[in-house]
Amino acid sequence: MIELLNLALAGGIAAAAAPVIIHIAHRRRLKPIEWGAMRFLQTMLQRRRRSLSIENLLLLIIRILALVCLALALMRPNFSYTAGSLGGDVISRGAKTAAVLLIDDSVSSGEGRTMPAIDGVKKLALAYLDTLKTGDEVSIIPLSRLRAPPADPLYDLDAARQQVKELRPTALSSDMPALMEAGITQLARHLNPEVELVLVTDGRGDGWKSDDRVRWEDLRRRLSGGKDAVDGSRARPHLVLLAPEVDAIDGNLAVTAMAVDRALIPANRTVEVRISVAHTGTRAISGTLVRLLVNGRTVAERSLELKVGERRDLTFSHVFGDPGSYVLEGVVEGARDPLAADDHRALAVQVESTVPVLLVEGVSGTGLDGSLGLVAAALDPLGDGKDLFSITRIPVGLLDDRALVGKRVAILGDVPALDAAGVAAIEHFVVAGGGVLMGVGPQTPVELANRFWTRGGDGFLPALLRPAVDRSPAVHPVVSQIGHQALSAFTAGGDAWAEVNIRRHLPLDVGPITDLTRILTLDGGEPLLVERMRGLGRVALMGTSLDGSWSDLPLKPAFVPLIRGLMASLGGVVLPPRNLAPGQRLAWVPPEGSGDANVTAEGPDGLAVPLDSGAWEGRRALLSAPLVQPGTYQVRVGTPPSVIRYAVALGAEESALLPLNPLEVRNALGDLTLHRVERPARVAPLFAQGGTTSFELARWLVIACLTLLFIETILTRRMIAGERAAATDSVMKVAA
Amino acid sequence: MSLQSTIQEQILQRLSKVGVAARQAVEAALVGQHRSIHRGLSVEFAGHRPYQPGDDLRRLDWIVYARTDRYDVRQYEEETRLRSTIVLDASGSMGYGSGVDNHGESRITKLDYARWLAGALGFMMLRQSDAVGLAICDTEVRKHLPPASTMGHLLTMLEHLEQREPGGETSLAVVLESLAQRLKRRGLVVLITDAFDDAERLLMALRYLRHRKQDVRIFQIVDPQEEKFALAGMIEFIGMEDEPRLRLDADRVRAYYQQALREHRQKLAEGCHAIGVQLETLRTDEDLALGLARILSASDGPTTGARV
Repeated sequence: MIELLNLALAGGIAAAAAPVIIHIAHRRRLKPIEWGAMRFLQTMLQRRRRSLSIENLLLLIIRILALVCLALALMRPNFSYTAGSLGGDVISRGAKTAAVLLIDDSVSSGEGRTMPAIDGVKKLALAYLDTLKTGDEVSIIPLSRLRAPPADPLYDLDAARQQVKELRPTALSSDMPALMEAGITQLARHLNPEVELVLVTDGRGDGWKSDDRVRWEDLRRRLSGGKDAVDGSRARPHLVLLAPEVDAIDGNLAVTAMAVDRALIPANRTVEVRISVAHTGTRAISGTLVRLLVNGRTVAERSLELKVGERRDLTFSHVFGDPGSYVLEGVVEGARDPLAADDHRALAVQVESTVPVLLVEGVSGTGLDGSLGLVAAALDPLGDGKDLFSITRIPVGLLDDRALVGKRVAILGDVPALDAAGVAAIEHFVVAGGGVLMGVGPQTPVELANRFWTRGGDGFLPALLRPAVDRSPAVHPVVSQIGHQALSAFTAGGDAWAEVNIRRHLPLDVGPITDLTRILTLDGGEPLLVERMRGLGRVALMGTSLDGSWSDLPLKPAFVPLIRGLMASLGGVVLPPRNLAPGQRLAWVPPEGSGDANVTAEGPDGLAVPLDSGAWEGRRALLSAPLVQPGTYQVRVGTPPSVIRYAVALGAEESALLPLNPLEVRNALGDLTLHRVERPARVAPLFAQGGTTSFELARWLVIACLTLLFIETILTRRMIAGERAAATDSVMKVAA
Repeated sequence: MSLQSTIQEQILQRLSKVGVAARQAVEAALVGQHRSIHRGLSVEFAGHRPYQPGDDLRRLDWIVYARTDRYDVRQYEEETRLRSTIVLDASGSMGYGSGVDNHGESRITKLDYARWLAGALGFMMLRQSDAVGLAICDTEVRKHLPPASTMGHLLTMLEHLEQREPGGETSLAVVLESLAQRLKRRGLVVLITDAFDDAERLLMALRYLRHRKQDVRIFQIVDPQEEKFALAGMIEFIGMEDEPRLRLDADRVRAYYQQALREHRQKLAEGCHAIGVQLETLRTDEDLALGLARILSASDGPTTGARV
């Protein structure tokens, strides 16, 4: 069987047409001249026409053949035939091997009380490397280097072994499709014809993501040959899975989640911290202790008894004394389980002393007057500026970029038409991470708002507005998004909304906009309060007024917690994010006008983390390399340093430590043949030499090409010599 | 000013219409020339030359031998008037020209060169009192002026030379056979042509002319481009005598073309030599005066036939 190892260069065969094209182009560039001595041309043609035509044709054929040989050589045809079946699950290697080792060094590879699973992974990988011979190519791609620049394959097998020996467990979550994609891409850098894609795992079932059908379907197509064949390879690569057979663990405790009960955390107020702990395995674990640490100091602890498979949320109360950046850590102690990495989890929070809010009123006023007088009262009831929310009230005419500087949230109440500068200022504010709440009212210009504020979904307003509708009898709001941050103060099933009467509202037409959250609806199902992400910020739109002219909502008890909840939701976004997953980069954006001198970072182990200049969401920033170690990272800025804390937390899915499920692997790979080996001693027998004989025809094609070129040269020289001889002969005769 | 020099001046002015080069050629060629270049038996003594095997022993000057111990032969100026006919090939192929004139402005065709040559030769013949006629031909004789020895006749000749444009196929063999029928008396036929005719047929016609007791001299006019074939790439050759067009790679056919051309010229030269016809070649890039001087000086030696 002949297969082409480099189909990507199939287009080169078109080069064979080059001599013909040149010949035709040459013939088309005719230069007409009048000629007197036609007799001798005719005489010459009578004698030579045949030989000239044959010579031309011969040269043309030889040149075409030479180019075809060269093009075919570049496509690397590989001829193989099977001498006889060796039987059993054996991969026959008849030629040099191109191997890509995909190694899962995820969190679960650190599992094991005495010997981490990564050691077994290394043994399997080394056993595989021992089956390779001089001249074979190998690429080592661990999960932790998926984002690293691709490297050329190694011919030095000792270097490959050294790379394997240096592998360590990481904090990353397994992602088999991503590994396979990287392996397929890497195959394009290999040249040898026997292609093997080798996946080495710890035998755990996490990360296969077999329910991601689109991704696996694409992978299967790329691995199955044909026109979607593996890049750089025409052959279906042999798929090998080196994974030890592992048992279900007897028990593992993991801190799977941490959360604080509010988005905006005020100083000197009690907040509740929730630590979720889950148990997997068959053995109950007792005598454990769960601790809450704030900035590395234990502030609370509680004993924990979990049944097999139980998951429990533990709630701790805590008061942050000062505003600033904190890291909360939940730690399980005394578990003595095989995976220590998931026994603790960190959560970075920002404690605020004040949240600046800009109130933009269509009808300006003081106290309770004006479009947002009641909102101002809800946010700062005493009006002394000592509350969490620091409010500034301006009439709509003063809205511009400067008014929004330093604000976290802007509330627009019953504003009439905004000028272009105002719309641009709001859009810039939201895209950069600010929050906006808009309440409609009698002055809201519906058509103008749809045209310039919503702009078919591209503007800052999350929905289209319809003309005002009077409701008699009045309608009531209904909670649509239970658990939304804005509604955190409301208990499920409460009747706080039933007493709210909405007499008039602007129906919100969400139309084709899908990335929108309905927080409140009317009891008829129409959206009343919706929220949408725009850039890095959020915009909420209330379909009725915030000043009591269209509803009695501002006069009801639900109003204050709703407005403050919305402020927390809209203004609680801390950017760049401080809670990161393994593999993400830490980013610090210097405040406007300040430099990035005296900025240092250190990791959980106390070692410095290098920060490089870069960009985050279009802004100048300092960025770290992808972080692989879970825990707390600190960025120190200025002198004396202010500390900003970041947290890297593991993916919870790694903690299950379930054995690899063959059915899941089969679902993922479909009909593709997978050779699985569990023990290092069985790796070598999987590969047999000589079952299939194959060799590349490229060298022969190159030789043929060179031979043809040699013949072409000989023929050309012979023709030239013939022409010279003809000329010389005639000269001699004339001379004689 | 003598009558002869007046007539000579008029002729030179007429020649200037044919071409400045022709006039200059005649002037240059006549510098230092003998009165007659056609030598043979005559009553008027012309001079001595060394004896060569084959010379008539009666012409040995025994007095010179007695004085100097050298064998010299007496030479006499010819007495009889020579009747010459200049035959000008004006076929289409004679219209080819790759060169430029002295001003570098236009091409010099073979016919231009042939016209100057014919005019110069006519003048020279008249100057030595010979009768000269003209026949202009392509596939047939288009114009025939019987030989005469007056300067007025020469002016008529020059007018016809001036008016003639190239055209028609080359068919010298037919033309010469036809001409041979008209020439009743012994004389000299000067053929000015590129000789792009079938060599065998042309030689047969020349033999016929010789048989009719005509001395024949051929001036073959050649364009240097036709010799060198300095062309490159794909060329569409358009014939000047209605031949079918040919599309050829000049680089590939150059050597074969040159071989065919040289074979033709070789066959013609050998044939002419065999029948006592002198063949001279003039290239259109060669100065006409120098060319004429070269040919005339070569004519001073002993020959088997008449000499111009």
